[in-house]
Amino acid sequence: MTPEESNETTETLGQNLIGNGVSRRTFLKFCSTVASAMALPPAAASAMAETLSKATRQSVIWLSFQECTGCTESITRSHKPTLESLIFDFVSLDYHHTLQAASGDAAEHAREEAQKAHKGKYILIVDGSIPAENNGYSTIAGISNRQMLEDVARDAMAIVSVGTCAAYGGLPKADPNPTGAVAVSDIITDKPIINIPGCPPIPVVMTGVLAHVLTFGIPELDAHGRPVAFYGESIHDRCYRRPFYDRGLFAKSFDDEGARKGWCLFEVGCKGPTTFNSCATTKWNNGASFPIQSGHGCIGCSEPDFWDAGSFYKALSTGSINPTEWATDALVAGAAVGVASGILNRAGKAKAADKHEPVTLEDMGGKK
Amino acid sequence: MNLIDIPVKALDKPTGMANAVMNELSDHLKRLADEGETSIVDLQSLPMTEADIDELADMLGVGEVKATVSSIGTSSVRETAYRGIWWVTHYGHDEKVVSELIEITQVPEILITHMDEIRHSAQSIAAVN
Repeated sequence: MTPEESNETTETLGQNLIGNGVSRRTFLKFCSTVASAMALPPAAASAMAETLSKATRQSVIWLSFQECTGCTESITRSHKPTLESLIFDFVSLDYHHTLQAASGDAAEHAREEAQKAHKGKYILIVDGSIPAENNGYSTIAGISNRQMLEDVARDAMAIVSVGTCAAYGGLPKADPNPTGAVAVSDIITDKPIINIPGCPPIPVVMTGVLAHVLTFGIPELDAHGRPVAFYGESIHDRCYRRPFYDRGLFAKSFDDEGARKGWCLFEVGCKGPTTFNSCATTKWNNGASFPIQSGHGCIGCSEPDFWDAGSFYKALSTGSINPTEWATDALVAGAAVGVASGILNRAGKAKAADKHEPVTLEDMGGKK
Repeated sequence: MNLIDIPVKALDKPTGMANAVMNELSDHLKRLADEGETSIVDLQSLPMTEADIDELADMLGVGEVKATVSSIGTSSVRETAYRGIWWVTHYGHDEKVVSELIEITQVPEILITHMDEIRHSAQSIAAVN
């Protein structure tokens, strides 16, 4: 389906934007930024602007299940008009129980109306996981999360799972998973689903993917259902501290010389090598910084089951991999010998097997 | 301690990328001259250091047209000494660069007034007269 067919209203997005004082040049600039962020051919910006301006506003229904509202905060948290926030002019957000003014029956009627009016044409965005153990664990207006998801997904054109909870189960699914939390894709199997994981996801990743869906359709996805444009490379490969890893220069604790000199955070638990996201290039808070730049390792929040992947403060090598073997692995060919001994030392301290082992001061690099 | 005090800086010396981009621009400009085909090079998609960008700017030189567009942050449009090669920088509301492009064209698209807006303006001006 083309975007032009996806809405019943007659006013085009171009007309709507002009009426709201958003110039065509601003529009083109937004598209240039999105095309650049998604590594699309530069000429795609013009085609994107042309297609979007002729489209009518896309109906979007946003369902929030077992979630913390952090994903909504991320996409809306902006005190100034930004290019990213323009996406709200492109869509008609027909239901979002946190943001909408209506409440109670009126809110639920708005959702039902949108479902009827745009049957087969609306985009369903979901944040939060779904409790499969017992439908009563999470309900909205007396309707269980599972039932609402199945009802709304039935007539959706596509589904976007925003945040790690909707994409993979997230925090609610963390061991022992008391609610039996599952991802959207565990319940809905007959619709195209785009996963935009992250805890929360980066705003421009969310808006960029929406703009792509509205213009060129579903973007290319990886094995975890994530758009390759944003999740194609690991944090480690794009990290500005990577040269220190290659030279075997590691911070051993959060207050040692290495930490002060900005060396690689691998040994204090950085999950950058196994995490695919664009934090290292897109960054956060209008490009101000990202966790590693602030001195903390990546916790791997865009990967499935990252909560149960061991301590955030233990090196990846202390997990299931034997550190002696790991130390001779080709991965660390460039690392100094001292690194391997540090890991052995750490492994000795790690009785790590228990999933609920509390984080100690020692884990964080402090001294007991 | 400020971010600027952390002694970690990106390697900042020319890597030869500017020469590679110049070769590409030469091909694009020839196609514009011979066939009228326009092209765009996205500088942010290339692994260029700041020194590479400065070197490329020096190689391209400064032409006779300079324009500024104000729309949620500014956009700076400059023709280089090679006519038909334009350097376009889009800034966000906080004056941070959001995209940087080299356009090989007669006039960059951001400067052209779109016909939809001309039609809207024609209605507006008629309404006040």
